[in-house]
Amino acid sequence: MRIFFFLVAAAGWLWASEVRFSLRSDPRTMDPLAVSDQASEAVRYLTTARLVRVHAKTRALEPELAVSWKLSAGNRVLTFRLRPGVRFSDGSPFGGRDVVHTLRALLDPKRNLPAGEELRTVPIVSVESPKADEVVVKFAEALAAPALYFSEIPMVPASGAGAGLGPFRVAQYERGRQIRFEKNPHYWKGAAYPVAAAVVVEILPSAEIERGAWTAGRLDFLETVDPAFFDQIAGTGAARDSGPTAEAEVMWFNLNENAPIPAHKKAWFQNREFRRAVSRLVRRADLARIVYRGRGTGGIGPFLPGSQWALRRPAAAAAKVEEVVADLGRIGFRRDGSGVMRDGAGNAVEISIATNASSRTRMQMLTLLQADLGRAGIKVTPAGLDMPSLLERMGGSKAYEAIVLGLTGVSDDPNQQMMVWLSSSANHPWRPGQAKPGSAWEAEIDDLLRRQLKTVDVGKRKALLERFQRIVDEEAPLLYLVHPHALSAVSPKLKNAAAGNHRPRVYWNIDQLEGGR
Amino acid sequence: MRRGTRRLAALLLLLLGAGPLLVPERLAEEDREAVRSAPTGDHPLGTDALGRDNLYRYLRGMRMSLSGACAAAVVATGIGLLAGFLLSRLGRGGMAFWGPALDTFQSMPWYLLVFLVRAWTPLDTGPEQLTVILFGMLATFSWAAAARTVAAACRQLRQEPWAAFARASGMGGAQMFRRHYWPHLVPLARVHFLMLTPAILLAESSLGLLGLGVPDSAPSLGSSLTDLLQPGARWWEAAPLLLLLTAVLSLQTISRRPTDESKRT
Repeated sequence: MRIFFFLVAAAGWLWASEVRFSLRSDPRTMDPLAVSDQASEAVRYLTTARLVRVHAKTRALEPELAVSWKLSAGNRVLTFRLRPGVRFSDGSPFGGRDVVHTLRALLDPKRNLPAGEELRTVPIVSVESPKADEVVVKFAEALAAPALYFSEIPMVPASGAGAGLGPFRVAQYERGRQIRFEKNPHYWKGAAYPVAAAVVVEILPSAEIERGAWTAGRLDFLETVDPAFFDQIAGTGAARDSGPTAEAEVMWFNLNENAPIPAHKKAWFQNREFRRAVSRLVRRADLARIVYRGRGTGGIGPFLPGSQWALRRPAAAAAKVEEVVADLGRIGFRRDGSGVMRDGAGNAVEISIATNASSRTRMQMLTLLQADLGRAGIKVTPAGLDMPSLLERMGGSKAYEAIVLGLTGVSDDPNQQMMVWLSSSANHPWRPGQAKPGSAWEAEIDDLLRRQLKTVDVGKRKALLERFQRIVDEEAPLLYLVHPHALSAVSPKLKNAAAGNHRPRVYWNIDQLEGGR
Repeated sequence: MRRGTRRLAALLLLLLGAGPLLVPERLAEEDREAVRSAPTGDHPLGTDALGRDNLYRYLRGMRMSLSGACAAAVVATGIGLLAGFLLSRLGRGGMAFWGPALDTFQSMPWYLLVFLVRAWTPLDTGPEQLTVILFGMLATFSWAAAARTVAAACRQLRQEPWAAFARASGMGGAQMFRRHYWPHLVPLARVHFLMLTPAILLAESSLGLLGLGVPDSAPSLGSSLTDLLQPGARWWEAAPLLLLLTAVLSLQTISRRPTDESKRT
């Protein structure tokens, strides 16, 4: 009999499906509330659950740990009804006190936990749990769709134990090599989920190594692939193009008053007509066609054309060089006899544009920008740096003139864009962390975005966001270059996979994925 | 090694250096309508991902890398000669310190310094200046081996009977160096130069693969080789690798001692 049971267990182990994918680095933390990097974010996604979540494909809010939620008192009170019988991965029960513990920890400004960055912008007055299965959140003012703010918040136990509510739990972690996750026996969806018995995440530090592991058949999917590799696997049935994303590649000029750059260059960058002229010289269609091999859309603005918030306007086409030169002439710039663009004081217009050297697509974009701006006599010096140095210049010394980088972690949801656009935000690219808005238009953007947050009426909210987009067009603080498509690789052996264009792109339904092993 | 083979190697190097003269300057421009094109009459080795002529870029890159590597090797050998000669004049105690110090210097991961220097360099530094900085750094990291060899050679020369005789006959230090040591050190310096040049060439190529070599707007072998690493690379994009191998093998061929043909007859 023992032998029989052993054989059954061995067969179960052999036949149990396993899903394998990769991360570029080790997670910096296993604490779900302290997550600030993509690798830790992936671990959190697998091991924790939220009250509600946004469906990756439909973008609709759906219940997870909360079975229902309702707004009352004129959109000032949000009540969550919790799912009964939910247990953490260690078997301890989940209830209202865990939710209160989690939210209070995130709202505590002293702890300044990264997972609560967005939540702390919401005017929350109190979080209470009057019953074990009920949580009441009160706001200082009426909000449009407050439940959305809770869609990314992982619930942790009030006891402080390291247990989670996600479909998997960490079984083994070998730093620099792999993380093995096993099925959470207490997963709230029941014994049928997750479908896979285990998830193995390999730590592969570069795209080349990742591609090698894919080619060797070691991985079930690649979350993101570059256009070149996408073209290579196009005929294999594994390539997935989920269309353009709001995660745009953007360029901005340094608008920091205290930046260690020459005064005449600061004056150019502060001049909105100069920024707009540069923007009009960029041949965005070429960037999408050449650098992204047609797997991208020329940059438009904060919202994609299909979005309900997008301003109805055509994609920005490059203007004729003569028109741009004439526009620059109106603000004192002239081309000299040798074609070099000079400002009113005779300084040659020369700009260095920095990006991370490890990104081939961005370095290629710089080369094309060099040619585009060169048509009007503007000299561009591309500068490829390692990422830490680039971030240090961006947020620390401010010693740069212009930067090309990608906006990651943003979606078509206006509230998710606030981290980029609010002048007080540390992620405000061109002048981060302002004590008060440095210009009238930045103050107006702050005001519009804060007002849309509280506007319940969709029409009025849309009007506010349209005004916001017009300011972005007029002031050109961020030049949207390309909206890259969400490209991923999914093995035909991976069952139930439905790649989307929001992160996570492939493993958003990890509890339903079934690997081919 | 036959002299003919060495002459052929030298000729190949000359051709590699003069390559860009063979292709018209107009090919430097990017043709956005002919991106990643296959070889044609206009573009014998096709175009790259941005529509730039591959042949033009490979030959320009070869010349740039080769001349940069030669210049860096000259500087490194020069520093090595000077440092080696000075080291040879130290006593046993001095060498007990400087010997291990040189070994440590040689084994340091100097390429990490390239990251730092690039991070500190002003961002508006042009590609030409960055190229000079890069090869300058490679020269600075490469002199230690030459210094070690030269120091050992000088010490040995000083112990030769003829050197003792020259010193006893009243020859001064400068005269000793010019008349006796220098003729012995020149072949040593030549060998070091010929060994260092391919090493620096390979180092520049490796840094180029990491995106930290010569900037893309000033083509080099390193930046050209990155195309070969891209998914879906075509066979003709292996040409820079072929050029690199030709250059390295030619330099090694030249650095070998010629066979004395009179002994073979």
